[in-house]
Amino acid sequence: MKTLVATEDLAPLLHKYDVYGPRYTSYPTALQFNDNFGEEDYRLHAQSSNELPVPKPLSIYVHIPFCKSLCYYCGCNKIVTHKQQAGINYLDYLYQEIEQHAKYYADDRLLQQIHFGGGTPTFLSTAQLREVMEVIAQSFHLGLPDSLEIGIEIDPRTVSSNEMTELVKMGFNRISVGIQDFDPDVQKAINRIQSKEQVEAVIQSARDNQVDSISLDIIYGLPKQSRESFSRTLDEIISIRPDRIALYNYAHMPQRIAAQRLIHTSDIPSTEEKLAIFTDSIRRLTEAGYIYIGMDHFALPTDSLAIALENGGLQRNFQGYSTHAECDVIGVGVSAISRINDGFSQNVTEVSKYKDLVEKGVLPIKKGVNLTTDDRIRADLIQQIMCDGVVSYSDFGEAHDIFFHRYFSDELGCLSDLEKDDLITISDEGFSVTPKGRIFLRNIAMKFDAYFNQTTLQNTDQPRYSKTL
Amino acid sequence: MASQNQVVSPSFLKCSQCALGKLCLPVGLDAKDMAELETIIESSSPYKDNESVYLSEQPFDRIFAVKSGVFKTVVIDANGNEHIVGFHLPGELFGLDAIYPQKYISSAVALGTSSVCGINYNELESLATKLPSLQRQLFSLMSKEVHTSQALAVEHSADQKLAGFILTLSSRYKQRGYSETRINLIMPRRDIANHLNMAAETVSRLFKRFQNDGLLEIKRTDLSIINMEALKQLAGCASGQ
Repeated sequence: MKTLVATEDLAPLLHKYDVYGPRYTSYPTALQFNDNFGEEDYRLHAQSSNELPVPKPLSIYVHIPFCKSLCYYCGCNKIVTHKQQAGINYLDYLYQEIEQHAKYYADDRLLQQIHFGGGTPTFLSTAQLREVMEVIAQSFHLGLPDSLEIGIEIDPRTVSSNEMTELVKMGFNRISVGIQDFDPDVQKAINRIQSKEQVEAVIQSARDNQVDSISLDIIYGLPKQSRESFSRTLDEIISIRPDRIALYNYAHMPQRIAAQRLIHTSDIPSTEEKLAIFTDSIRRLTEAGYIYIGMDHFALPTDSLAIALENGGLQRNFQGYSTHAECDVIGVGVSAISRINDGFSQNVTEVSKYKDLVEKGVLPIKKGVNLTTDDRIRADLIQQIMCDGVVSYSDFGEAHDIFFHRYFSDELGCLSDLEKDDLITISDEGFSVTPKGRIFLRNIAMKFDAYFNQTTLQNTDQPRYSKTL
Repeated sequence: MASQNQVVSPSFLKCSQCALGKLCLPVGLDAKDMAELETIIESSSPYKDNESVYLSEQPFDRIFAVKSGVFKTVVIDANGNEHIVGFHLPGELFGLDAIYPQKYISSAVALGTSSVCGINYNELESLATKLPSLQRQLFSLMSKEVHTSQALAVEHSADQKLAGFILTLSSRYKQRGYSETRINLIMPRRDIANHLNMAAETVSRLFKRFQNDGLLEIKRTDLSIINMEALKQLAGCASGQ
């Protein structure tokens, strides 16, 4: 199942399945979060998580919302500023929030994973990042160094070789570098200008210091992109040979994302061109030896993600695919999402509100959701589809005390299209995702999403999800 | 396939129709005697998680049979520390230790949503004098209680105690017609730790060790025994079987 299909016959399927849909970094998705969820709910979930026979390890996600300049494609929650003071003020509150979370967890809950995202985490100086790490280390008990994953998203425009060296020495062992595209015209159209030299210097420095894993982010469907121009970017990416590559889809939704109004719609490649860029990329990267993991992610066969895919240990959480997503995730900072036990919660998105709440000594939770038994069953099934790609009716049914055929009878009745298109194969015992099907994981998972049909389909003028491809 | 806490015996009062009749008080009763017993059984609405059925020092009037879920009985020692003396599964009785002092020694608290049948002890006593099978079963259940507390009183290493605890649950669930290899550990780990007189961290560390040694597998609260023989060996005489 690991080798990919010939890409020529993908085009009709790509058109057919190119619909709006969630990425399932969580189920239920953020659309189902409600305002009634508060700190008391969070506390109860933390308490239940402490009281499991074997509590899960902890993971912390730190959101740094600041960016020095605006990238026009970006739909993230961020604040564009040059004032370093903004970061300093924010950190004071961030530290308080970290300490507020920490008091809810038993002493033997080891922190196994730390991840910095944004915005631009490297908006902070290395000294500031060190301070954040120190506060985390003071507040939680860290796992052993060889099992501790510390990751950060790197904007190569904000990190020098020396700073990269410092970051690795500080303990960062996984970096993802935002490339998007090497083409100068595309870079200009998205207002993100960074030279190959800048990028290569950062990566070289990370490699010189034996960082464990390097991931590069690239985006297809950006303005001014063509098959030809993107092919040159792929040349460059392949020659750098990172452990992982994330090939994201640019969703042009100017009606919802203000920054995208700065992009000329006429510069956006046609749907044909965009899908061709996508299939070209899949072909080129797999020819270059990369394994398609699913959901836009590629990894070298030696990378832990590819190994986990092979061995059935792949997992998925808010940060995408991972080899240890079984942690309870504490999200700190504006808009950060936590998943503790059977509760999801998301922080407020405005910095001013965030500071007000933290100052009052409460967790700055905006909304969240308590998972029902049905949510948990579907979340596990969607996770299984997106990761292993194999579902055994009897095993799954036994694990969840359900009769699969009865529980999912409606859903099973809707799979024939997917089977006809060779995205899944169905037998009496279960179904599995085909190599071709891994490109359409969202479409397969959507069939088992109890909320999807009700909330999204009738409202296509104002899509709340990006397109699936 | 069903996990223990989801399957409940029917909520109606009749012992004759209760799935737990084969384990509970009515063992060995014929239909007529059973009908008599049913007249002194009272059922109440389910208890919520952490809700208590009775508190220690309250005057004794009834014993209780677990209908669904799990109850724990808790005593306070001389230093004011809580100690969990037992977990009670469907079909098991609690409150028996109150017969002699005529007041409840422990407090009985629901773990998760759970329900009981209450049985007025004076009425039970007079009924038992009329029905030898009922008397026999009552004595037998009391003897079992004494046996369990003796088994617990013996000194054992922490891993022996935990292995024994799992095996005891396993055999008790098996008697009830549930899987003996798949147990829903609904009790919080601090309760398991308290009951076995060890730290919560130790409970988890041992569970992890048992997992690494291939004895069992735990997913959330779902415990599967993989190697029953090895677990029994580890428990030695601690299993109280």
